[in-house]
Amino acid sequence: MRVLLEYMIGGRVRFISHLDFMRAMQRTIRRAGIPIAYSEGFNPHPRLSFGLPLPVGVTSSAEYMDIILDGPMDTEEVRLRLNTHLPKGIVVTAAAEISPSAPSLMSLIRRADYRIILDTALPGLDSGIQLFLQQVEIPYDKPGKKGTSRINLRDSVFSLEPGEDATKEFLVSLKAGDSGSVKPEIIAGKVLEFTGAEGTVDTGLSIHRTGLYMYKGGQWVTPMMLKEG
Amino acid sequence: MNKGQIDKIIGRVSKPVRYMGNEYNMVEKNPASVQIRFAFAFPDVYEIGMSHLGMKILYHLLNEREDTYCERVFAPWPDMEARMREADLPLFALETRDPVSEFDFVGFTLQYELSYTNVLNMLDLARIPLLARDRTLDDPFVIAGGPCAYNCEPLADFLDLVALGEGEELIEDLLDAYREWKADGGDRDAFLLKAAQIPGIYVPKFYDVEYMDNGQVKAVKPNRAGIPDRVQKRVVKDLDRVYFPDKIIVPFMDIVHDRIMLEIFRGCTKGCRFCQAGMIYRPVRERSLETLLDLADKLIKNTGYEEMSLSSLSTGDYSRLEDLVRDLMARHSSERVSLSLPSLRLDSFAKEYIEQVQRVKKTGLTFAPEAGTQRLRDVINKGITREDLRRSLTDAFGSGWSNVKLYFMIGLPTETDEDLKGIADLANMAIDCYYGIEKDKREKGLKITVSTSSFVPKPFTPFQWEPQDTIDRLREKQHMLQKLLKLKHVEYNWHDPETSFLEAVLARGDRRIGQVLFTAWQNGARFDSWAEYFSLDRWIDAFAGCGLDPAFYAHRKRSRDEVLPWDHIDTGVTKAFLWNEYMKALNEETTPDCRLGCTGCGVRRLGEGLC
Ligand code: SF4
Repeated sequence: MRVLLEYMIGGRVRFISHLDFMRAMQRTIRRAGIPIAYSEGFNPHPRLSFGLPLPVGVTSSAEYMDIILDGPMDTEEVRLRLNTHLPKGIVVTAAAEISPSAPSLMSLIRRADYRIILDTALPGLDSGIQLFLQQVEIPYDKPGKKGTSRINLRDSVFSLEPGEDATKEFLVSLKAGDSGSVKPEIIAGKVLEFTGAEGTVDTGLSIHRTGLYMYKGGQWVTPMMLKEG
Repeated sequence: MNKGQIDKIIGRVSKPVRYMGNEYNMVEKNPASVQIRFAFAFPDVYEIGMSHLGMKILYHLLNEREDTYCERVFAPWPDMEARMREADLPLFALETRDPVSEFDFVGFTLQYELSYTNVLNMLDLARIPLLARDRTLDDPFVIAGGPCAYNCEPLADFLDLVALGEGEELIEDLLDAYREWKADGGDRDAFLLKAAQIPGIYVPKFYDVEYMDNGQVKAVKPNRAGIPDRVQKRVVKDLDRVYFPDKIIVPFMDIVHDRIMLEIFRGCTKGCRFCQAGMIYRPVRERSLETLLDLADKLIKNTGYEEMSLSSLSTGDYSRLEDLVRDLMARHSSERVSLSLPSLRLDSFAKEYIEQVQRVKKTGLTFAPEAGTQRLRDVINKGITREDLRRSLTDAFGSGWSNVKLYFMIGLPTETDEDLKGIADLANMAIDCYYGIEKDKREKGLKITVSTSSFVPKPFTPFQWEPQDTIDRLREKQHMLQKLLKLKHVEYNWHDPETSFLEAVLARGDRRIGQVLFTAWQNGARFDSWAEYFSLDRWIDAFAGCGLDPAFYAHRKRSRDEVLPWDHIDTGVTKAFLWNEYMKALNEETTPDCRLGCTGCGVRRLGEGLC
């Protein structure tokens, strides 16, 4: 049985790396006594896979992973057990059975939304956003395993708009899961550059991932839409 | 200090998870509801400190007390230190993020000499006066324990108290005394005097050290009434009754020893003459099979760890090892818990265990003959023969291993070129053992890793009187081995002799070394055990600045009647026994394992029925 989990990451736990998180999840599953399946072979490992790694320092209200179970367990039971055994700061908000043949989350997730909040108000923030949106070409050398590759940042952004407090907050919707995807802080840096307040990025900002989406039936939906039936 | 600022700072350093806390099983208490706040400080980075078993035990033990909240603190990595100093952020504990200076106690565990400058640096970052004599009632008491505490004279000026021996019972006595003192009121000395009455507590300031003109110690004497001439270490009598945590913190970070460590016994009876642990942790006390199985069940359940190791100085000597391994496997292999036996000694290596362990996971195998010839192994009393090694290697290769590590020491007393050639000879023998297995029965890809460390004479061992080889001499030996070990399938690794030299100086240092530590720290020394931060020149300058000669400490042969700077500390093992062992070493005479019969080390004095 394959179970899709939606969870939040908040508080201090945002400082763990993706690898740290995977280890923590594996141990939580063991403590919780969830009958996870193991891969075959010389060095068997628990069968769990993740949507999109969360950058270190970023909090999130909706992350996804899926696990394969060896035996049946009610999905609500899975969720409750995990929450009893998870480290503080990680909470599973939903669990649903999905088809074993559904494609991997990694291959489905195409969009990631963020809310970016500056530590200190910046009156020019809104005009920075507008300026960013007016560009046709924003070249950026994206670092990769084999050196950097030049991409157009403007193409990486689906939408960009001010948040509730337009001097401190903005919302950005980014491409995810392909070569055009970039980290939210890169976009934040560019936006700040367009405000003319360069160098202030270091005054600090907090980044929160508000959602991850896949494109299905002509619209953006959350991976929970993979739920059977 | 605004605690929110801490997140901003750690968000900008490497591996912020080191400073994050909030791990599963971290203890949370309301600091306002306890009488004693204890900061358990490990003078190295998080992933090293969190791997240390003693810390796990004492952390959870102290937190069992309702009147105490024990929190953790580690040495901030230099990038974090820079940010903290820039932001004026004092050293804080991981749990509450409160400044360590607000605690009642800061307890350092001293696991290796090269962490000493980190102790100073952490005190400084905590804004606690470095010198014990400058502290006031507003400052915490700074206490140290761990193996290096037995000769902590180099740190004596910086410490208020030193805990000798096993901490479980001692720390309870100390905290009880602290509460009494707090209720009574009184100055710092009043508490220290009270504490000095507790067996195992050493208060350095109550002892004066006199020196002779030649620089040797003349005498170490108590400087006030009611202080014992010698302080004897504490031992726990019954490991089945002493506290052992049934849950431990599960770090997010991939720490060095990221697994359950099941402590199966303490002490070691082998009597290797270079080994300080083998002398200071005597006598042997085992935990019963029943206790261990019960602890293992609980720890696995409460942590979710997928790996467990058996911890002791010589795991192969546990009297019911076979039963233990078999039972642990039977209970937990279906939960996919793998078992690793790290310090398995080849003289007790049995093929059956290899296969048991292999059922779950195959890991590399390590053998530590320590010296290349039988003659030198007799000198150091390492009771392993070439035949033992041949048999163990053949078993290992025959059971599917193709990757083995051989550990040796160079610079051992009486060592000659022949002994170095012996190391290459054993490497060649290992190759032969491998090819002695039929081709279709052995695993492909033979790899033999030979590692040498440089011998550091340690206090409280039979070699405490011995000079260490000079750095140049150790380098020559390493070069010779590099040539001798240019063999197919063999890789040779060696330790930097410069750090071994400093280790030798600090290990047998006296109180005057404190100034050198201070000077080196002021000149930037910290994380000395990390090659990227170690600078011998900085230390040489510090010695010169203090008018002390490091060779006096590292390269000098001591005489029998010399007063050693640590003679006022009693580990139970007598100086007479150590001297006798030293003489036997020079005569290439061995001493049998004392499980076969008491060899009179003196530890029996510490308590009825200990051994
Ligand atoms: S007193 Fe005897 S039996 Fe006990 S540790 Fe010493 S030598 Fe061994």
